Amino acid sequence: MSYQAESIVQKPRSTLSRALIVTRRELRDTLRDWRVIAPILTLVLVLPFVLASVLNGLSASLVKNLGQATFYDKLLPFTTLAIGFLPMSFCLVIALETFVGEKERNSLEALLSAPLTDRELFLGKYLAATFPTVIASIFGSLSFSIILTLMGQPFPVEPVLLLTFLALNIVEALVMVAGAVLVSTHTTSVRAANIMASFIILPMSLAVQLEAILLVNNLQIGLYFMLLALVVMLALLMRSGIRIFNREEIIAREGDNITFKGILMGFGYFFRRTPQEALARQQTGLRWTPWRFYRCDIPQILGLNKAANLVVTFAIVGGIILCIWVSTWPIFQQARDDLGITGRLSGARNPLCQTNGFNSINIAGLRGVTWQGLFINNTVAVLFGSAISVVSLGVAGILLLMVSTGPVGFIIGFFFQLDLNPLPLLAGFILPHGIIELPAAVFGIAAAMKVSTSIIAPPQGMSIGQSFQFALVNYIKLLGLIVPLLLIAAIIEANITPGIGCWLTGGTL
Amino acid sequence: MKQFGEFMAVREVSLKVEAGQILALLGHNGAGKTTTTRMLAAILTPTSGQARIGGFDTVKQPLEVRKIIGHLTEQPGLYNRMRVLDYLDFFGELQSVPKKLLRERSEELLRRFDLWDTRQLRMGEYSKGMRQKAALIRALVHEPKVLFLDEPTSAMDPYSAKLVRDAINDLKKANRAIILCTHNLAEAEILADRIAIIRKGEIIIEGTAEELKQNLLGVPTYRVELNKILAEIPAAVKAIPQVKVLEMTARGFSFETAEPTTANPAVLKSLSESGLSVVTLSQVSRSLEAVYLKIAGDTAAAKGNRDEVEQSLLKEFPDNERQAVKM
Repeated sequence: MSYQAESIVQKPRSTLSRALIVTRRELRDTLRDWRVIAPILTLVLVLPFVLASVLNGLSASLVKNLGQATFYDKLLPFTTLAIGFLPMSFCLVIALETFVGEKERNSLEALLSAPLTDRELFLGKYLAATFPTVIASIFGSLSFSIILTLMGQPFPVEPVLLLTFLALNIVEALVMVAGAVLVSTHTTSVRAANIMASFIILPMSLAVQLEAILLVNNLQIGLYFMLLALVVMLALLMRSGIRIFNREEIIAREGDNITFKGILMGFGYFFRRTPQEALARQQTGLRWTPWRFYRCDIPQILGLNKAANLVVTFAIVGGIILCIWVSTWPIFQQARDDLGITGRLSGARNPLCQTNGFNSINIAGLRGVTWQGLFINNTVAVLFGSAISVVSLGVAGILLLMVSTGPVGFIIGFFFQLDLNPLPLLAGFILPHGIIELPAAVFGIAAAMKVSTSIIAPPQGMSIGQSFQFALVNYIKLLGLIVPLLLIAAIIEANITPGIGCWLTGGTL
Repeated sequence: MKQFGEFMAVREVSLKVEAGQILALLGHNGAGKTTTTRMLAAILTPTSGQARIGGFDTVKQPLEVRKIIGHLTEQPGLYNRMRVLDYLDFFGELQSVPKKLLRERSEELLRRFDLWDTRQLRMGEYSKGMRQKAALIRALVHEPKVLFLDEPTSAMDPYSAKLVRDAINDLKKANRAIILCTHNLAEAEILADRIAIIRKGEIIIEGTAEELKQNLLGVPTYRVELNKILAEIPAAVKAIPQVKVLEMTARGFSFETAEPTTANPAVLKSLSESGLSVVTLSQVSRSLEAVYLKIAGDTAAAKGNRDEVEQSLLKEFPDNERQAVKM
């Protein structure tokens, strides 16, 4: 055997072409596996054929029972959309085992020793998992439409709507694969990855249901907004995936056992340390005291959550601006006039100021605008918003805040439309307590969003579990600021705000 | 140094392997061999410390490092649905080896390791030894300057193991630097220029096989076989100052000496003058296994008492080599 003294290798190629080397191999491997191919073919050919046959066979009775418009304009288009989702969810198994499957088969280490950057490796694997998923999804929708048309039915969707469906399915496939590849890089076994897959399939199923609701209610513009939201989510997932991809984590992580003692120790570790200490894996020796808590822990958490706080704040401001614009829509102007809001907006004719009608309001089961009722109501709202933020990457919590603050936008919009000055109303009825209550809500939702995203982008040197524990502990610590703020805001809102509000708006309370 | 959470996988490892040298890294399971090679292959980042492979820093220039290394992992881990030529094409392409050259080289290596005739089989159909050979070829196909070979012959039959050992020797002659992790001490002794023993993440001793034997097993022992039954060891032999007689048997005796070049002729001469004919005079074989077991069996070491191990090893080393065992 001869060996050459000089290197025989050429100049390395670009990132994409090197990533595609990995993609090609993975694809060849996938396409040789009948356990993958057989179900995909079933889902993109057999199932659409069966469904089309059933719908074609029952079309007469369905048209009779549901009505022609419902059958042709709602049921068939939705079936076209949904049938693209089914092969997509099956193809997830390919993405789920991209890294962890290779690790289990002991072939990953050789690949990690090859001269590939983390980005090339991630991209190569991602593209390999994406192709079958996207193609199966497109094929599923198209084959159903074509088979149904060949059976004598009209093409089930308008061309523009079909393109929207395909775009939605493609982006959903890309999002699901990105999530699955992320899961695959952070689990220790294919079994664990499959269990984690429910965290991907569940939200995407909800997205499909939302699409159905939008479609049934002829709100196609909503589908475009969904498409936009999914694109944003895809960008975030891809960015996170590439940023947190760590070959060391993949190769070195062993075991996925959960021990109650270990979890408690983890929480204890993060509770005892300030966030900066925990991140640096150091301990300064500062004992836990209320002084240290409010002097070090809380400011550090707020610092760590700076970006999340800004995102939530911008979302609220954006929501208010959106509502100002929406208030100009004729339907809302009509509602404004029908409800007599114009009169209610001036303090002199505000029934609450004139008749001290605050006592007729019930908050949190307590009669009247009491600080206890407001405190319970607001605290529950923040905790609920946090909970739904945790399971939705912060999106649901932000939406809840936007819905809560949206009426401010409508009021401002109506005032502008009526050539009135909204400042007395805002300064009187919102500012006194809002200046405390709103930041508390923003901190809470943002911290919950960090808990949710902690599993996507763990800080350097932390595993997903540690990152989740760290973010959760930070959230719990932050309640030490949020709850007192909500209490102060409730006391102000119950005792001071009505007086200032009515006084500034010319009322008589 | 490499730490995983609270666990210290590698504490202190200082190694240098020149081109054309083979270093055998020996140690128990979990001693830190694989972690060390993974750090050298730029797969793991050291918690502290530095490693340079072919002049490239493993942390700052991981891609350059991965371009010049060949890494045979402990588990071959092949792609079972692939054929071996496709497999080599894949890794060769990742290493940017020109296609024509890659095919020639693949064929040459497959023929050398007796896999050419089975190239049409899927690798899932390969035996353990064949899988290991295929993985070894993958590590060699781009002609790396540095090789990390983790148990290269562990699953092979004697014939295949010999093929691989010959190949490793050829690589050494071709000026490759090789780190060989193995539990096969005889193989390490045959192949390696130097041997390092790692325990609990620390290199506790390093040197040539002879140096290790000399330093850890003491001076060599020789055995004399005579042509007749011996009643007593001749006084003339006992009188040789460099010779310490150890034991006597019916037809001979054994002795140790630190100066065999002067002592052994003196022993032969004394025996001849005493009217005894020598059938054989040979050195008692001392294997690397004895060295390894001596270190492994050290009670103090088993208790993890570093100071005692260090002191016990330092006592056995000459002054100029004590630095080698300094922990």
